[in-house]
Amino acid sequence: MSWCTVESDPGVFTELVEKFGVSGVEFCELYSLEDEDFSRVAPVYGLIFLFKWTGESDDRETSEAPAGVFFAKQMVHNACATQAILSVLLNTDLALGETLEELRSFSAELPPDMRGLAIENSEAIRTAHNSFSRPEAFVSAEGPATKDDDVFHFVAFVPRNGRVYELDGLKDGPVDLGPADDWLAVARMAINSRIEKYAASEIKFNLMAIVRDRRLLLDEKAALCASDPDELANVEADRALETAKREQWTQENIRRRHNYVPLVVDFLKVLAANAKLKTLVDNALAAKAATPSANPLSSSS
Amino acid sequence: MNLQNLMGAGGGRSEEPIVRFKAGKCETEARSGGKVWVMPTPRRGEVQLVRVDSLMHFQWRDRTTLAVDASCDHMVFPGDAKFEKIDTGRDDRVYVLQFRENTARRFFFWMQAKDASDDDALVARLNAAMNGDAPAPAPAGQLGNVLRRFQEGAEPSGPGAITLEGLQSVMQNLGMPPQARQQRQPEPASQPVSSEALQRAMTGALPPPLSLADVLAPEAIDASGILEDEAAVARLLDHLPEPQRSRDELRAVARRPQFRQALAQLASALRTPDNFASIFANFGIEPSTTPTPDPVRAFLDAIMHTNQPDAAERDDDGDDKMGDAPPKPDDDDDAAPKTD
Repeated sequence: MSWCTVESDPGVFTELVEKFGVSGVEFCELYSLEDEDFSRVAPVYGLIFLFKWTGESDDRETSEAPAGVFFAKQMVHNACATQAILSVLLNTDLALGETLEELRSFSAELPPDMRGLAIENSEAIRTAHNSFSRPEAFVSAEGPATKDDDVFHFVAFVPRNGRVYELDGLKDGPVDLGPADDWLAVARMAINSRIEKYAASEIKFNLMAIVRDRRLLLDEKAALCASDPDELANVEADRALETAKREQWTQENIRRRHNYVPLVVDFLKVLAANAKLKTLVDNALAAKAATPSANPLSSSS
Repeated sequence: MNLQNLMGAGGGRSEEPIVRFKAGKCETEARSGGKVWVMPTPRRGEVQLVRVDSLMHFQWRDRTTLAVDASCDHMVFPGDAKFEKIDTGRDDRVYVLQFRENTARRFFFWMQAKDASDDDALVARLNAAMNGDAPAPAPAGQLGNVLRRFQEGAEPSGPGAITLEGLQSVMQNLGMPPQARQQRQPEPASQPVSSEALQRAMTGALPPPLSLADVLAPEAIDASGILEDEAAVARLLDHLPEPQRSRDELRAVARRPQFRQALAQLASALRTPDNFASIFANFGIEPSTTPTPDPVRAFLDAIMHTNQPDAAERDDDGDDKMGDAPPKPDDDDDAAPKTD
């Protein structure tokens, strides 16, 4: 039972949770840890932090997941995006739809590793996840990912029962980060310290928030300011932008699932049949030859 | 079309190794500050250079199981890569296989033979074979023989001596540009050449590997004017995702990350010998007869060979636009300002 890798992208994640049967939420990418970035997208249900996994050692203490906190051990590597998303969703009180409610009740009494297996074995979840498999026209000879490859890891941050938890499926249990009075501030601090740890080595990371569906939020806002035409016009303009964003996500996800290799080959054939390919090849070769670094040995003469 | 099954099937035929010596693999781990840790792994293994389906492979295999490690089976073309010792400041016998085009593409090994005295000779043979023996069929045999005489340590004198002149004629047979030898005047024509000079000449003579991404760069596609051709557009639209078959999408597609990924996928598959032949078969392309050591080049040559302009006129019945295509000089005029 294989799981494909999934691109870390708000459009992908949003469609993914909608396929799980969840509605009323969406993902948005955060580009900084600034206060205003977070208030702009409130309410935030949880955060997912993605970073290049280096097999780091982390000696912070983990606890056994307290009652009401969903923690699952990650059992399959490529499933880590889905794992982190579920770690957030199952720790909220949102209506999650049949598939996830079933998982929640089925796994309530299970230990973390069995919960991980329950996720892995859920046909519905795996099918939704794998619907994003990039069409690989060729089997790559690379084999499984190693430490040298770009292996990314996802960690979830959620407020639950008055505490803030860091949920990392590679650990034995949740890390309790403290009281959740201002949970975003607590989570941001934890994320920040991790970013600082990597700052020197230019490791890529990315932060995603699970938030309320912006369209629903704006619809509610529109209803509230029905008597204020100026404000209403603003809200409606924002609503139109959100609709356009959703449409763009749909189109991008169609492209993500499409195999473009046949187009590439036919492009080459059509260019050849129109006596244009040779020029393109010659230009590409000329450009290569002009680069001095292409030929390190010959420069010695 | 299910390439996936086709591509995975059928292992390549391999011959006796050209060079083989005991060596273990090293693992690398990125550390902070851009540093890389290189750690030898204890498995007993060997590095070998072997021809698989007439293409040169650098492989590492386990000495106990004799199984080639799939993650360490690299096709190498002349001028592609170098195997060199790393100066650790100690007596370590750690070596790196470094690919020229991509500094990040490097693999570390440690010598496992008890005695270090053969290291230099083995490494020299490996490098000479890796960078000398072009995999092209007929002429390569000739050149291969020339090189093999070097590798086997034949003194470059006496009846079997290899002269620069002889080498030049071999190169000319290979269709390599004459300027490669013009740049290197110092050796008088009939003197024996050193293996080093030969290597330099080879590297200078070989064209750099062709990048598919450069050939189909968005600017190059725009400049080609191919998207002004109605028949070409109609044909290409069929390959877009069904809900997106519009002219605008086709114009934009070369800049899409998914299209760029497909280019990289195809190029990397072409450089994998198991996939190389199946790609040709699957896309109905007949291999060209002109030998070239660069698989991407071979692929493009074959496409040009299989899709010659007049042939397309006969095959594509609705394609009466062909005669209206702008003459070539126009293309070049267009191309100049746009590609800059």
